[in-house]
Amino acid sequence: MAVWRTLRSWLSWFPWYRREAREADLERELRDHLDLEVEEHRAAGLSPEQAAHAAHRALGNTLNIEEDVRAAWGFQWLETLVQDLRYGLRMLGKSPGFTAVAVLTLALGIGANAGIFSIVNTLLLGSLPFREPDRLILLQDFVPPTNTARQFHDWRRQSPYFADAAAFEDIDANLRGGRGVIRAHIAQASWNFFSVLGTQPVLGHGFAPGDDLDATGLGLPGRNAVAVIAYGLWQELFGGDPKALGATIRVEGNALTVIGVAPPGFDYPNKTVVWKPGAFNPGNDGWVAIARLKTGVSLARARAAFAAEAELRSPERGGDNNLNPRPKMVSLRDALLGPVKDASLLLMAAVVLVLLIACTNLANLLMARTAERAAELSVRAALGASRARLARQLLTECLLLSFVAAVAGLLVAFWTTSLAARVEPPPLGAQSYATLNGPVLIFTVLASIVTAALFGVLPLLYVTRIHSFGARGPVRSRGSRMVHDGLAVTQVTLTMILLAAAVSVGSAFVHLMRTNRGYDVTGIATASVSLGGTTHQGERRELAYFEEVLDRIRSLPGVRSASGTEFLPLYATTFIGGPFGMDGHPAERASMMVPVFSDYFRTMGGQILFGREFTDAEVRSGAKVAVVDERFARAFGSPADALGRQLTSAGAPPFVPVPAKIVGVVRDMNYETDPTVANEFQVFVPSAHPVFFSATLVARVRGTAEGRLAVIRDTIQSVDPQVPVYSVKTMQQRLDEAFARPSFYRTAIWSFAAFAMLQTMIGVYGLLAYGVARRTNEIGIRMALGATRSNVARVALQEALLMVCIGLTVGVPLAFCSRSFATRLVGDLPASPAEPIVIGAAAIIAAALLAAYLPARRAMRVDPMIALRYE
Amino acid sequence: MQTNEEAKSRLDLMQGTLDMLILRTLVLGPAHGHEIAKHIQRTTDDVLQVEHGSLYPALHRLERRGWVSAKWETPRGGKREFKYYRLTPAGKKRLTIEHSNWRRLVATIGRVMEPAEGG
Repeated sequence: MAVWRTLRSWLSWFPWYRREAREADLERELRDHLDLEVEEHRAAGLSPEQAAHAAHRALGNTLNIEEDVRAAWGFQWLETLVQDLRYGLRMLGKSPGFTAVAVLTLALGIGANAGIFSIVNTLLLGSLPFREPDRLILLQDFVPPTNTARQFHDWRRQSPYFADAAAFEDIDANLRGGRGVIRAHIAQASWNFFSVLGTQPVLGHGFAPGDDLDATGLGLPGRNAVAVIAYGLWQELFGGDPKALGATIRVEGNALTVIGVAPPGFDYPNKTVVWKPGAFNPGNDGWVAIARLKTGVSLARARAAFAAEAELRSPERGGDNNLNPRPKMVSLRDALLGPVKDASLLLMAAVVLVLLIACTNLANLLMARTAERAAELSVRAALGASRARLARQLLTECLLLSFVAAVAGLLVAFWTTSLAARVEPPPLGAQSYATLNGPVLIFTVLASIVTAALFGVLPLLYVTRIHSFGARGPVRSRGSRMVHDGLAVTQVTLTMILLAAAVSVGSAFVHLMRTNRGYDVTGIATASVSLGGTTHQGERRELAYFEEVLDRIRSLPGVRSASGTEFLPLYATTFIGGPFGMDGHPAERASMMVPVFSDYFRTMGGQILFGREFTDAEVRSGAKVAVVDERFARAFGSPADALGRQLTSAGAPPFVPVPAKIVGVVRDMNYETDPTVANEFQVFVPSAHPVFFSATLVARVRGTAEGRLAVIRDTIQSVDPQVPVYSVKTMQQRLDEAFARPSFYRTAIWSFAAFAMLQTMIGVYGLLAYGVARRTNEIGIRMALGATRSNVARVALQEALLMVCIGLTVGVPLAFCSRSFATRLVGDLPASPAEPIVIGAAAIIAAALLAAYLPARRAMRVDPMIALRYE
Repeated sequence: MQTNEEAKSRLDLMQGTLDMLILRTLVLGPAHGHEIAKHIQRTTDDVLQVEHGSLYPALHRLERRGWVSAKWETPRGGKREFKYYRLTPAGKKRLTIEHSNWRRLVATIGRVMEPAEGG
């Protein structure tokens, strides 16, 4: 009952709740009153007509009373709103062209904003699946004491700046759990990994203290062979069955017992699906430390303490070259999202500019419309509408427009985010970039209100000038012209900034794609295999397998040549390498070591500058020969002279075949996909026994590579179905993936700039067309007084150029600033700083002249006789 | 029926006072609009001009604020339903407040207008 009563009292505030009944009630009440009054007067002896007359006079005008009672009900504001909305809808419906343009413009503007905000919200404001993620830090290029587990735990327990730290190392490996073998990302970690992150397994438990004391290495059996698996893997392998606990999975052939399942969305580091206790042993420098700051210790203080510690532990580090990079402390959030952060903020700035440009155009359009409606508005003012009432009416129309656009904009937002998700998958813990969640919807509503206020407030200036008398025609004044011109100038300024950024980003991208990669990307099919945990692993059996596979691929019809390597170009993750040198003199920079099979450079379309590549016999025998890249060779003199000299590496691990005779010099291949990072020196050696038991096979084919992928995969699998084949792609596909991000940024910023340009053209056109129409008389007089047609056209064009010039004067300095932002999107900008500005400015001037063409032509065609007759 | 002379001798109701008078009237028991109007007129010997027209907006305003409640009822012995208003507990409280406000107002105005008597 109480609930019902509450509900009813709530409902009673809603004007349409029982509205009919309420009205009928009031009417009956007033009729009752009249009847009683009539009765009373009849009793006093009046005639029926006199009585009725007297009663009516006593009560007054019932319509007025009803109106007052309705006001007492308190729905006035809502009724007005509904009235305004209806009226607004009718006005919008009356000019469908204007409405369509306005809604479309705004939908693009608001939608793009909502979409980018959704990404920013997920990436930068979204929560990471860790406890207090902002207290977590990564120690980069710093290897903590990890010779034994005990040594590491002693170190982490006595830190002055962090409360706790965990060490981890992650790598791709073969995983068998159930049916087949899959390629998966796994991590080994100190036992406290989950507790440092503040993550609890949703099923089972994490590692126990001491689990990492005798843990299995990636190739070593051990006592504590346990694993925590990712939620997704649990679903995939075990169908979400709790019996998974205690089940056995095999990583590179080693059995691990599942003891826990990580929460959904948890896949740190790098989409890991299996975590196992770390195997600490001397000589492994692949460990990364993650730590939680002590309470009360600021990041700056911790950084200072860390720098001191790093200096003490590894004083040799700190050089500027890639041999001994300086240890760094970064917040986990920055490490995860650093590069994306700048880019998404820049895109956000760009879409805000786009929205502003759209607003200026709409403001212009609306001002013109409001001026046209001056007659209507003054009639309404004469009939008693207050200015506030008229202003509210106009603002309601703007809000209506804006909200309709916002709803349509959500489609644009959805499209934006799904595009973005392809190049920048949502990070940890977020399944997708949600467009329909609270913050994004609130942002969209706020954006549309602000937008409506921005383009709706100028037309309101007219309302203040409306009088109930006068102003039957459009209101014109010097002031309103200045406002119009000011808007157009603003547009030119904003567009200039966007255009300069677009040209910068575009030319940087072209540069990026035209880089000499050192190989020929077309017509190459690639497929990766890994022998970890298979019968081919170890004791030099790998090579036999690879030779068999290569033989079969080479005999396929349409395959020109085939080879393989452990590290394919564009593979910018784990390299092996170190301080290589020549004849005992180390190079100043580290080099990466690339094991390859025979015929590699011919297959890849590489450029052998001097000498030759490896023969079958050299690969099979593991001969001590090497091919180096041109830059490495040049570090020791003329590249041609490198042939025959010895490749050396002091203190290199046993799998590095040094000293080796240099038999070839090649152009370096493009491994690095981050344009801001230089390629490392490259040293190629025969792949006699792959370090990671894995290789990527490449085949150069006749015709397109896409069509050969399936055949090549089947051929590899025919050798041994137990060996997982993955990443079966053409080289072109790999290239596209590697540069998907800059490509997305380029497309985004270009479409924003194109949109801005179009808007500016519409803006300039509208303004000039209005100007010519307004000055028809003046033009007529001028022509009658002897002005030529070209004189007249020049006046119109001059006006356009003047606005553009003022806009450019303001815009160019700002465009210079935008350049430094663009650098962060696609890396170094090759063009001179002036180039984008010049191109952008030229484009705007051309666009403005184009937009001015029609109005100018109309001005030229003014017939003086007709124009003057209007006077 | 009143002559102009009669009308001039009447007092216009001070704004806001009507609400108080309605609430005061309802202390005596539930009443419908006509009864309330007549009661106010009668008790002030026809001096107070209660415009019937302003009575209804006031009643609906009071109902909206929850100071009175309304219900269609048939009076004892009658055949016809009328909309009866009655005081709610909140309305009673409101009446007390308005009454004391009014008293203060009258006293204050009295002190200004007739200082000798007051002193």
